[in-house]
Amino acid sequence: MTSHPLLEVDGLRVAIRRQDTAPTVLDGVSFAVGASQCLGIVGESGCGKSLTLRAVMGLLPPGIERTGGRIRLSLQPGAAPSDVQADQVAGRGLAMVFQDSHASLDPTMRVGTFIAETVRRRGGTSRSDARRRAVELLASVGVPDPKLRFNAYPHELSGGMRQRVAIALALATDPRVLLCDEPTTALDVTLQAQILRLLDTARAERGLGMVFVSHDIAVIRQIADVVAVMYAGQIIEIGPVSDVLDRPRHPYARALIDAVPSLDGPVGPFRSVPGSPPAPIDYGSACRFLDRCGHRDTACEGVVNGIDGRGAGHRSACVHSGTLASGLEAT
Amino acid sequence: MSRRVIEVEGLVAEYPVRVGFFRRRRVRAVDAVDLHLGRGEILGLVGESGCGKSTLARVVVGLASPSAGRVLLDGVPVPSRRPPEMRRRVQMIYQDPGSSLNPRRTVLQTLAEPLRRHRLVPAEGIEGRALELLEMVGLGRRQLPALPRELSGGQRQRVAIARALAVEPEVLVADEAVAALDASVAGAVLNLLRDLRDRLGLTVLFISHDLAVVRGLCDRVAVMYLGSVVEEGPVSEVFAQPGHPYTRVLLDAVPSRGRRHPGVAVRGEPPSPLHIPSGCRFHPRCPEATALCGESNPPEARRNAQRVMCHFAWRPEHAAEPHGQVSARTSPTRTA
Repeated sequence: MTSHPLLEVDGLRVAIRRQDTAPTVLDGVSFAVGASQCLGIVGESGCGKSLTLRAVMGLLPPGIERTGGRIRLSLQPGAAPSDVQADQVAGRGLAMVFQDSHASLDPTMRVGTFIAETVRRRGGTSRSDARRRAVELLASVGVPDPKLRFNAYPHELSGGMRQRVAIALALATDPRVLLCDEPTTALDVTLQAQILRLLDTARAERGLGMVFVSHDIAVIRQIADVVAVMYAGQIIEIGPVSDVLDRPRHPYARALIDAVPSLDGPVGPFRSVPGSPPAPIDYGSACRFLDRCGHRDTACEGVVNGIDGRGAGHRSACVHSGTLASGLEAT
Repeated sequence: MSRRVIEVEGLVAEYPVRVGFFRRRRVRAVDAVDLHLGRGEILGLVGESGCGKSTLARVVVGLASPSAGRVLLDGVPVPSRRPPEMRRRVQMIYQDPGSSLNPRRTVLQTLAEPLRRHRLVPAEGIEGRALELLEMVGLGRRQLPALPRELSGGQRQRVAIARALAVEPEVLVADEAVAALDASVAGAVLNLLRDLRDRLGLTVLFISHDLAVVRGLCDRVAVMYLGSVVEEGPVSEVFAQPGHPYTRVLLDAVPSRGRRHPGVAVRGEPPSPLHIPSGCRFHPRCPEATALCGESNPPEARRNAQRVMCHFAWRPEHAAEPHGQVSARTSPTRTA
């Protein structure tokens, strides 16, 4: 038996609606996530990584619209993924954790009540069972004194505790896939380590599929199995974490990874990627990294598409990735 | 040894907070901190949110006044109301250049303001000097008429640095100056800071939560926990042989290439400065605490240029229950 992916995103396109034009900000993003698998998405601000999650979740901000692509979700264990509408997915197998935990909690509601209501919204649970379930959920995400914290308001909790509650809330709907949008970026390193471990445990225990978006490559290295590198609205490289992060094939991926200072590498000047990504209005059919790339030639000016992230293995969108792979490694 | 530009002695900074409807208390954000910066030195200040590092920065710059202790500039105590000449010598750059720059002012207007205010150049020389400043931070004439929203994040932070440099300061206090930037851009701004230090002999107090950045940029590092400095010393020594369990916990928490899964996480969260634990402040979360740690204030242990406030500095094996990874990662060397 082949195991089906839990979530499959096929050719997702998202555009900004303007009066005269509609620049495309996500251009055919495709990926799949299986049970207990974590797909990491990295990239600079504005590359569309958070937008991808929001589009999948049906939470696009006003003025931004999904213009194409299909989202398929496996709603029963073992079932093949089937098409779902963007506005139906929330609560039906998908849940999301945000960077800012204030965004997911209601400031006027006690956190326990909020979780219990979310449990009840799925139906078939009595009020007292839902309360019990909420306390269990709070305990499972490592909130000390869950019965006491049940009655707390979000503002009474510290940032790390609030993020735990937000995770408990996300798990309250028994999702099959958890979408995480920079859930540890606002936290200190010590809390970040705690939250990463918590998410890792939840994934292993519940067989959750996870899509984890972060600008922090070190965090992705820790939590993800497969990593996709996004640039200017496209996936430009994807593959197993150690392959992509240790032997990137796309010059942009290489530059981005090299720019991250580490605690164990040699100390020297910091690296950066000169220039800045193009604005969506300037996205053309050529390679979008062209202007910042040291390896450009005429081949790069032809049509260069993003990668279909659904296949297996390590792949890069760079037209030169075959010839560059060995050369890039040496730098 | 380089001359000390900034010295901080027994510095205490307190804020009034409301703890009840009518009750007010003072919370100690910075408690008896001693620090010094030599000329041309980059000192990193690290610690979790709420540990008092930004408050300390505000006192050093003169945006907040100390409740006790003092700040010395070139050996001269700074009065609580800083005269303009002293203010000029210590400048600050902030985390978010999007909000620290006036969105309705062009880069030229932003840079002209401090030049005019401190009467540093004659009116006709302002534009030329502004251009010089921009070139110093790697921008050029093209950016002079630009508004902040027309610039990228990295360019905005460069403008903020140019503005701080306009008054020819000796000390730059950078509060999370690259935290809001992507790694792809942050590197260039960090190199700029180092380059300015080399060219202008600038002294930098670099506040950051990012240990890897501190390791690459700074000469010395001070680690703060709940208002006090728990460890201080040259970056190479502190990162290779951290003496304080808290420093080890911080280093272990950073995701690294070698470790696929997070190391031993520290228990709990930093307590509020309203309830400072007795004895060593870190003992309730310390993986190596003993009864002694809760009872008496830790002594200062020294090794070479490194200073550690811990009963068991560099000696995790002396503690009650040495926890696997935390102590195993560092190779403890006993001091005589």
